[in-house]
Amino acid sequence: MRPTYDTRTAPTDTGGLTLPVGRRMLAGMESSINLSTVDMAVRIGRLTLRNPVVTLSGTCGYGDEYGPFMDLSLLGAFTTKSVTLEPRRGNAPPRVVETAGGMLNAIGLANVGLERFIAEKLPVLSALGVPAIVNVAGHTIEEYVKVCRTLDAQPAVAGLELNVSCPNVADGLVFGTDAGALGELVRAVRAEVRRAVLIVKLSPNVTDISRTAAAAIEAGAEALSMVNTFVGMAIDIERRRPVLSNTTGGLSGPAIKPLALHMVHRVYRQVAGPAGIPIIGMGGIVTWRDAVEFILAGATAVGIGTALFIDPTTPLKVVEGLRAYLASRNILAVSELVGRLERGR
Amino acid sequence: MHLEARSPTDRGARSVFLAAVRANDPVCRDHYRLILALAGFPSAQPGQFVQILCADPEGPPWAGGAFTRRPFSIGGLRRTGNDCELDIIYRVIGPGTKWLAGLRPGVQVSVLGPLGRPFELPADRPVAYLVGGGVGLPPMIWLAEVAAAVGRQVVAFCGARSADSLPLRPRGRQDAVPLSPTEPTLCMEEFAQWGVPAVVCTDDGTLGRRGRVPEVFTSYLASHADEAAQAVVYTCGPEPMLRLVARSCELLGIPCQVCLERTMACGMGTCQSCVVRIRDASDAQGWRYQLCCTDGPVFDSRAVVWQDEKWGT
Ligand SMILES: Cc1cc2nc3c(=O)[nH]c(=O)nc-3n(C[C@H](O)[C@H](O)[C@H](O)COP(=O)(O)OP(=O)(O)OC[C@H]3O[C@@H](n4cnc5c(N)ncnc54)[C@H](O)[C@@H]3O)c2cc1C
Ligand SMILES: Cc1cc2nc3c(=O)[nH]c(=O)nc-3n(C[C@H](O)[C@H](O)[C@H](O)COP(=O)(O)O)c2cc1C
Ligand code: FES
Repeated sequence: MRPTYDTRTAPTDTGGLTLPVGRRMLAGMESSINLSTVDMAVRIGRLTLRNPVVTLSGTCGYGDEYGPFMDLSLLGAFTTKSVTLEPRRGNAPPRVVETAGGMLNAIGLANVGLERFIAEKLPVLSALGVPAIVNVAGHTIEEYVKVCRTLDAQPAVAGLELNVSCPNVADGLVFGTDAGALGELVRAVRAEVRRAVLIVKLSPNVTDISRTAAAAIEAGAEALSMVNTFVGMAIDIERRRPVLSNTTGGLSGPAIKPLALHMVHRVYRQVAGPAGIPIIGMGGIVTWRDAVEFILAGATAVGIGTALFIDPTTPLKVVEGLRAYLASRNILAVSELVGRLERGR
Repeated sequence: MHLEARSPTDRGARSVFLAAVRANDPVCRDHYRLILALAGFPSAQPGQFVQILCADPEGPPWAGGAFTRRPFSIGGLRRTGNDCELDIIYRVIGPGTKWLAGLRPGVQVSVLGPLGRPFELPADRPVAYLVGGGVGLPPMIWLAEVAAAVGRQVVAFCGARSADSLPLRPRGRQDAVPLSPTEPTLCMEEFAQWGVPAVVCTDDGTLGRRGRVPEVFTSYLASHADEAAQAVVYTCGPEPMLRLVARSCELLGIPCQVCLERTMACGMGTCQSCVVRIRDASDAQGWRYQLCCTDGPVFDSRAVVWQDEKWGT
């Protein structure tokens, strides 16, 4: 029989998987705790999420698009498309192309701008009954500060996630790749944000992600989202031109999972773990098994992006699969699993 | 039946369905008709589409046919109680459609929908001209059924490169399709079954009239001015064809609804990948982007800035 990659069947086996926690605790035994007694809540800074699964910026719109598919209040949190001070049209099409096990996108931060976001999108978002994390992007420190200050005054905004890592606009990447510039940006925003939880979303397009992670934490980030997309490209060999009008795009989906997982592991070990700063792990998560890997590597919460395009209900399946995994191993709280990777074989 | 324009926030009922393949048969070279059976499919209208997962719904998403879903127009819909059959006519051009072509009756496919804004049938225009080219024909087949059912006088104009790339079945013998410039006849099964006459043309003249569908349609408009004055034109196919059809309509002041295609990742308005330029006098550059998947795929032809059109700044 072929393995089931879905979460419709509860994972009660340990066969074939290297699961140190489970092996140590209850290898091969039937679950002895009830599914409903597993504590799925996690803390991201001052924010408590009912479960560790969040939807990712740029893949779930502003909130109402996936309403017909699921009860969004069952999510841990919802992250909006990047919001900028002024509206942006974004890049010319084609903006996306499929590649092996993933896709490249060069949307170019197309968004309605701060004013219309607050007037039109935030009321819809706040009615969903899920903590709203607003992803913020900008050209300059002043722009980030202005947008964050304005959003911090909106009670519906639970968290602010600084996108310093968009590979598709000329200005986005500089804060994400230069630890000094990043520290300066986060410090400036930190001074203005009082209420909302401040999250920094790191770029993977760096030589040593621990350096930017350390700079963000030192400047006051309460949590790290990692990672954004990896810069890549695709070429149309008939036309001898790049497929994307922007030439390059950001790679997402299962293709980047091993890379993202490694980065979460590295930052958790070297910087975030010791500093007690939670990581929202993301990059190619499709199934609950992927989520378990990220949590074992050190993520407190996990994000689902590209997988939503294939099945908008993926986050709920991941929550249920994760819950069943924990119950089957008698782990009472998901937070106990964070970073519980054993060394060696 | 007047199809109301929905407000931008009303996206209508939609969901992910596991559908069973009823049939998946070749219709002409590289084209297949897929019939999917599913339960509880929400109310849908011609012009809307579904996103099909061209990979095993139980398998890992990186194996099999294609990773992201692929959009296909609904080419027909039949209901019996809660059960529903969807017709999809597709052309094999890449990994996703190649995977579809291998489907056998009985296997399951994941279908997401219905999506997009449908065609509108304004009550004050009793004539409907449907102009379809190649894989733009499927939505026209369903529209013919619905428009005829609500009492429109419908005429279909069907084009393809060659007889063997026209995904329609000639009624009777193939050589019975008129080759001379005559009136539309009940020549194609898919339209004739709804009592809808059609004009067929192929670039190489291997079936119907030799020539391209916009030219044939434009000459029809010229010779049927009174009828055309009461018509709405609905068109779907390659964009250069749509542009020519739209231009003829605009010159004569006939409303024209175009069904556009863009590369889509989500189909649900979240990824912003499927943008279409829309004329906007209030914009400094003269245009703004709308989404093909949610604001479209059906647009008023006068609003569209065509892909290769120089417009604004
Ligand atoms: C709203 C909508 C309705 C559609 N209805 C139908 C239909 O009824 N029947 C049908 O056969 N096809 C239809 N299409 C097109 C269909 O979605 C594509 O043919 C399909 O996605 C190809 O997938 P693939 O994996 O086989 O090929 P891919 O490898 O994805 O594509 C092969 C080639 O076609 C190009 N291409 C892919 N998708 C599109 C697109 N959407 N527009 C323009 N070029 C594209 C690619 O760039 C590539 O060069 C529709 C598209 C849209 C947006
Ligand atoms: C179409 C698309 C648009 C995206 N837009 C944004 C964005 O506006 N801001 C941002 O911080 N990240 C954006 N991302 C990155 C995702 O939030 C996420 O970090 C990345 O896709 C990796 O996760 P995944 O593999 O689960 O998709 C986008 C990703 C995709 C696929
Ligand atoms: S396909 Fe994603 S917004 Fe249209």
